[in-house]
Amino acid sequence: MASHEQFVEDLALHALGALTPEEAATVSVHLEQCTDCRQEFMRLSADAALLALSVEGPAPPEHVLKDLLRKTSAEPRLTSIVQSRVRWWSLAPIFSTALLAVCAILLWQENTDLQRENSEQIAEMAHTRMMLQQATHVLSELSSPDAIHATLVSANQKPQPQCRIIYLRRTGTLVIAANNLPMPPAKMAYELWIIPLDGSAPMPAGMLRPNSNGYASMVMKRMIGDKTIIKAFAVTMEPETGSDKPTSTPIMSGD
Amino acid sequence: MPASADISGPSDAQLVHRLKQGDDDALAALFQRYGRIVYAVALRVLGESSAAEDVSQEIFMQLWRKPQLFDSQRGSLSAWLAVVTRHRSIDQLRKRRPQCDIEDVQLFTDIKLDEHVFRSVAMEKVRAVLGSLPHDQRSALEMAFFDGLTHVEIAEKTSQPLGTIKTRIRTALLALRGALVNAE
Repeated sequence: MASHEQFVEDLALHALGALTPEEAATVSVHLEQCTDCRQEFMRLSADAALLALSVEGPAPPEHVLKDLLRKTSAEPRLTSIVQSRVRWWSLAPIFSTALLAVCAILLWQENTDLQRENSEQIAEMAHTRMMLQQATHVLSELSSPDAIHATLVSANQKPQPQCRIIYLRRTGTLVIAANNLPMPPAKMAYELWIIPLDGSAPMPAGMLRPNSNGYASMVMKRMIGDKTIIKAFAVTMEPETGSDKPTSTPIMSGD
Repeated sequence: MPASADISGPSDAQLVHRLKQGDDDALAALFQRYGRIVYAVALRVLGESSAAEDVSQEIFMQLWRKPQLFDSQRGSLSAWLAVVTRHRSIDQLRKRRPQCDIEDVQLFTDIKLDEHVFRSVAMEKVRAVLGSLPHDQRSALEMAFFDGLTHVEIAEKTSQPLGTIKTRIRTALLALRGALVNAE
């Protein structure tokens, strides 16, 4: 099993894509678990970008832009089939052949679109996965004991508990960050609830356990299906092991 | 080809926003601004102009179809385009299916690479550092980045130990970071 130092040494090669596929897969798993390496990998990726940007070369030929704009203006459009007023029975064979040809072209076009859509969806999933990793990384940094949090309020007012929630509808993912939370009583914790619009029972969405700075965060993946419409969120004080339904009135709520 | 837009023109974020609304003038503006970088990277990797033209068009078509792929919070558009172009060009070079999820490209840099004047200064520094690298380091770095070779392949090609190649590549890449740290 590779030591952490070995992973650190491999980060630069990974940023350049110079590891073997097996090595790259091993490093990728490590990056999901190690914040420091993830940060360094992002810096190394930026360094690699400088290498790409440093390339000098000629401008592309003028026709490249013209061809590009022609392609963008000619994005797939559904063609219409014009029906002839000619006596159809005399042209039936020709008409049938033309119809078959048009159908074949449309099917080919649809197949191309579906393939592209599939690739785009795969790419979108990877994008969402990466965003989630980034959010987890940011939240872990914010939760660090040496992170300093400050809340600015009007004069003569105490900072109030706050909870900010970002909901990624496509993936049912919740990103939650709360601050100024008083420490809960012993054996108790804050529990987040999702209040569905359809009036069904509140759904438990995870426990918030503030650190000594009163800060708590979490990322909950695939919490709810994309058919569920959220009306509001609420936070109550529950036993630290969590509860299936609220047992106290909300401490915080919002929609 | 006109120079990149100066700092008084629309920002990259504004142009990308207009792309989302189907404004092909915005696409043309971005091509004018970064087409040279994209084509240069593709040409460097592929070594052949028509292949570089194809990749360049593919990159901008992808940006046209899915402008949301680029997030200005993640870094500069120029850097993102350059790296994405490199990835696609390597795939083309190796005649393989796209290996990299380009949406996973994470570029965090404090350097204002979207501003032409800052980018020019930064790139001069980077080229100076590259030029000052020992030949073995620069060669290993370029084989990894522009030829798409793994460290194992580079070691075989140069008849050098794996550990030596790893160290050369890592040292060379970190030297680039030093160029911009000293530039600030």
